[in-house]
Amino acid sequence: MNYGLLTPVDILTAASLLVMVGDIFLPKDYKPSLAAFAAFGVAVTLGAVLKQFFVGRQGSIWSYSVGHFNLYFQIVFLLGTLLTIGSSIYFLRRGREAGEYFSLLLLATLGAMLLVSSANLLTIYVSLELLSISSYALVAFRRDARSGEGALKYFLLGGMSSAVFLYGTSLLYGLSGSLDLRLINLHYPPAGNAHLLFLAAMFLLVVAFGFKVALVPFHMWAPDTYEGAPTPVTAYLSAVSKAAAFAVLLRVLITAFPAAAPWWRETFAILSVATMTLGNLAALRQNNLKRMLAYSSIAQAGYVLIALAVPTAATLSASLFYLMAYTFMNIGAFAVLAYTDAVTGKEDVESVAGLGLSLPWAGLCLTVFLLSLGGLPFTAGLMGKFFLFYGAVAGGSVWLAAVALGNSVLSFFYYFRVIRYLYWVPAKETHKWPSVWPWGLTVGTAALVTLFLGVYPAPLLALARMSLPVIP
Amino acid sequence: MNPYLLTSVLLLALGTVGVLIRRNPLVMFMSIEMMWNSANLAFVSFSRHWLSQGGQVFVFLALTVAAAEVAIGLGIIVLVFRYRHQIDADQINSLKG
Repeated sequence: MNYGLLTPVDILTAASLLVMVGDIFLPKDYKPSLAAFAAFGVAVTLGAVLKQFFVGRQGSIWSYSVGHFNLYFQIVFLLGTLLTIGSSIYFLRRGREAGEYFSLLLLATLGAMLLVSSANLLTIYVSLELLSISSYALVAFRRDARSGEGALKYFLLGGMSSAVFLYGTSLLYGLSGSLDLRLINLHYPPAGNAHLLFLAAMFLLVVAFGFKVALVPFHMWAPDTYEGAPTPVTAYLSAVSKAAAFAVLLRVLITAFPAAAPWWRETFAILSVATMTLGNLAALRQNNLKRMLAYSSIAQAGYVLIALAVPTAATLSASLFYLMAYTFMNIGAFAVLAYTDAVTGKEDVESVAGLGLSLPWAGLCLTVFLLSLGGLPFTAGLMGKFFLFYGAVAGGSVWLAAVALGNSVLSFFYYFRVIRYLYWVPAKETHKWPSVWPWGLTVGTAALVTLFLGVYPAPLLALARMSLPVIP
Repeated sequence: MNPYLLTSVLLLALGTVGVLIRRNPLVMFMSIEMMWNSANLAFVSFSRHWLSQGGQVFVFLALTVAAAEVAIGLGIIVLVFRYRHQIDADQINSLKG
């Protein structure tokens, strides 16, 4: 048995438990230092994962598999978590609740890491619930009416989606007698009525994961939850949790249902168009910035889905590239909002009015993130979109690429509206902007990475090509 | 069709209808529990059919996870109730648009 494969998850488990215990035993004044410890734990885990990715041994132990695909996503989650920790510090400035908050955040990340590495539906279920349950608690963390409302909606719909997942899993178990994704594949395609049941079970799983990715029409919870949650948690949900659900969707479909590809490809083409169009149209008429970015992140998931509608090596590696880029630009944008929310106490678009002049660096970074989300030259977003759309055209789906291109143009309207407020609308009231270095470091790094990937995308694209799941 | 599976499908349908038409989060949550348990029943009967232990083990873990979910869920419902003094899902609508 090669227990060494489990080192990264062991480290992260230990770190999250230590943060939890530290919260109980540390005196009040020392509790803010738990943030640094959490960041340290995540960084060490990231180191261990990077080592496995580049030099270490890979393979599988029980139903936990370690390959480039799994490790790539684990790197995305850990980087996302580091950025989230950095943007949480000002939100938690009293720091008393730091232990609880960061241990939940680390446990959610642990759930995401296990989720993407599981080869068995039982471990997928348990790790999905670890991610979900920690997220429910994080959404409710502000403990006020809106936070509670967002959490309640997330919880009720999430509970329903996990019931759907359970039922789909039980059908698959009934049809194949196994919970292992690779063995389920061997039982497909069965003859006659069993085939329909198999497809039904597959679609139940797609619905359950689609809920987590917030695909239209399973997105109803997302805007409310994203608006109600503390802003750093919104960033986390919209990047890490979404990427985790997308990764497991990809893995389940490609490992367990490669033979059913004609069915799921059509489904995802429709879901992709619906998701990007509805997300963009709804984002156009939002005045609340957090809600606008929530709809924008729904639309972004629509672009990534192109990889499932046209599953070729080109689109799959593009989606992996895009998810990494998206983690930086989206968490970056939310990190700036987390700060302006906390200082101005407002979330509407007026709260950033004049920010480009009163706080030039933060305004510049937010501009970079928004341009990247929209997909303008010299940003990671453009590169990701270019690879995705080009892959769709090369894969023979010109109409899908055309719809996606039209949608990106549509999205410029609401991103540029925010940029107009940043530079050309004077602020109504002046605020004192406190300097918070962990936050500045986070936002600055995210902006630099966004620009770097836009100018020099080749290395990351090469890594993404290395990390493809086995193609159907 | 095996009577156990029939019961499980009925429970699933009842639970789904319950979530969709009832407006009290506690009752909605009870309906969700019913959906979870319909899947558990299916697992146990399939486990019997295949004479394998996988389904039984799954049910054990699913029940444990459900217990954790209940703890968080009731906490959230209490939190909402504390601010609004009502738990009608139609009234919980300050976030929309």
